[in-house]
Amino acid sequence: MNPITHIKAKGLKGQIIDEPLAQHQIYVGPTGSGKSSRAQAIALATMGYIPWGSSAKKPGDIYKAYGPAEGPLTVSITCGGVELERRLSPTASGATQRFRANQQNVGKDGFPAEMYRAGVPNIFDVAKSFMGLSDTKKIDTLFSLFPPAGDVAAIDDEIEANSNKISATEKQITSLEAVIKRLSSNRHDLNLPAGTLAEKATELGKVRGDYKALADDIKKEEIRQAEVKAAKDATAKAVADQKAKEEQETKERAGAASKKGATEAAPTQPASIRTEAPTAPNVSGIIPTLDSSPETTTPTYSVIPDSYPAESLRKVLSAMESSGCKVCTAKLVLKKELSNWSGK
Amino acid sequence: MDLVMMKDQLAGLETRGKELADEKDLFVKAQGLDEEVAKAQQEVEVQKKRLTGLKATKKHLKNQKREAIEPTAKALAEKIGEVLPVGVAMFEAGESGVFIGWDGPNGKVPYDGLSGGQRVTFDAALCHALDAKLLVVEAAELDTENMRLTLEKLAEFPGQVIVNTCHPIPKKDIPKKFKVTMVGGAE
Repeated sequence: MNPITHIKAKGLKGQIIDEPLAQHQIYVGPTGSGKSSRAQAIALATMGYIPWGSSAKKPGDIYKAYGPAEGPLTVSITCGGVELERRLSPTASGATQRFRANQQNVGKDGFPAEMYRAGVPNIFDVAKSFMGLSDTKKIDTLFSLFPPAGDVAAIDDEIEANSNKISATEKQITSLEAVIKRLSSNRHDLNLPAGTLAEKATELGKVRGDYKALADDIKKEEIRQAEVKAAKDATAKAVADQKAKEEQETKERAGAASKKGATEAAPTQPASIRTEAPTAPNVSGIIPTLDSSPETTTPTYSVIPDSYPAESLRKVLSAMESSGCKVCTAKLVLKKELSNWSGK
Repeated sequence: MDLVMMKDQLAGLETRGKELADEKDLFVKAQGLDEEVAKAQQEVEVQKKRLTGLKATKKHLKNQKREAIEPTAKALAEKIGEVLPVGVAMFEAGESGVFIGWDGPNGKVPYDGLSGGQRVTFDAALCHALDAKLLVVEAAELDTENMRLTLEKLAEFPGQVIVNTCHPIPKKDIPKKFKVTMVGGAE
């Protein structure tokens, strides 16, 4: 690298500069005095644009931003003994550029080569050329200048894969926790009664056993009652048959008596009827009790007060039912009594 | 007991049996739900263990990356330090992206948080680190002390330096290597 030793500018923000430049140079001057123009002249000559200030990069725009009202804008630097010049001339559509090295025209493509040969120091525009880069490009730039100790890109790939796994796992945990919450809420909504499954199973087994035993008892009782009824019916039939037989005999005897004119047959007939008569009224055990009541002058069933005790018993029954009593014997007895009352 | 009572009692037992069967069903359902919950919880534990492992890997990878980048950060800081008058330049490349800043007089400040004067100083130093051979330092916003320090550093710069300022600099603060030129009639 060679330092720039001389700067020239014509038409750059109205400045005419033609002066030497030190390797370590300080410019002191008020704002707008042209200090910046020196650096701008160097930048325009070497880079073709001015990184500080205007964002113009096309020759036409640069000319418009920095150039004079008319005529060309010319900047040049001398470096390594070579004067390198760039000239912007306005045209109808913008501006054209012309390059010279030591007063000799060079092409646009030849100019960078001339600069390189002359050892022109490069200006680095930090704000635009580096801080404005993407992170990846910043890192690439830095790594090319200051190499890292390892394959950072490969590590980055691993980090990304790892991050993806982490977020997938976290998502799965979240969804599992939601499932647990839902299941727990469902379980809560079951409103389980007191006790345990085992207790309920045991109780259910007992109730079913009781039911079966009771059903068997009922069947037996029904058979027994049917047998009793059959026996009764048989007895009644036998009695009726006997009666019919006796009647028949009586008739026959009467027929015979009428023929003979007998009178003693009559008393025997009522006696056989009278033997059955006393059993008929004694159907219920309640009747004698009511009959024996001293206040009841006429012990007919219609005067038994419905409101008492039947009403009271009904109240007791409903209390038992509402309290959940279902199979207790007391209730069953009560029900039976009530049915007896209401039956009369 | 007569038959009616027995049948009544039988009906009662039937009702109670139905109730108990329903309750038993509820318990069976609850048991099923409990089993599902337990299974899900077990799976959560498995996934949590996996997560712990993945996080450990993440930490390890980050360390690995930091170690890989360290020479770069160190070399960059050293190079920037050749021009930066005070403090240390920072370079980090983490998950949130690249961090470049200045651990200077006001503590750790990211590049975008630097004041105008700090930015000038830091830019010049960064330019140097990025292999620029010509530094242009717009030093108007540097105070006297920082100007002195910056010039002192820049005097050692092997390339070419142009410093622009609108404030006159005390002669004693200007290193001998510098040439001062007044522009626009300034004295």
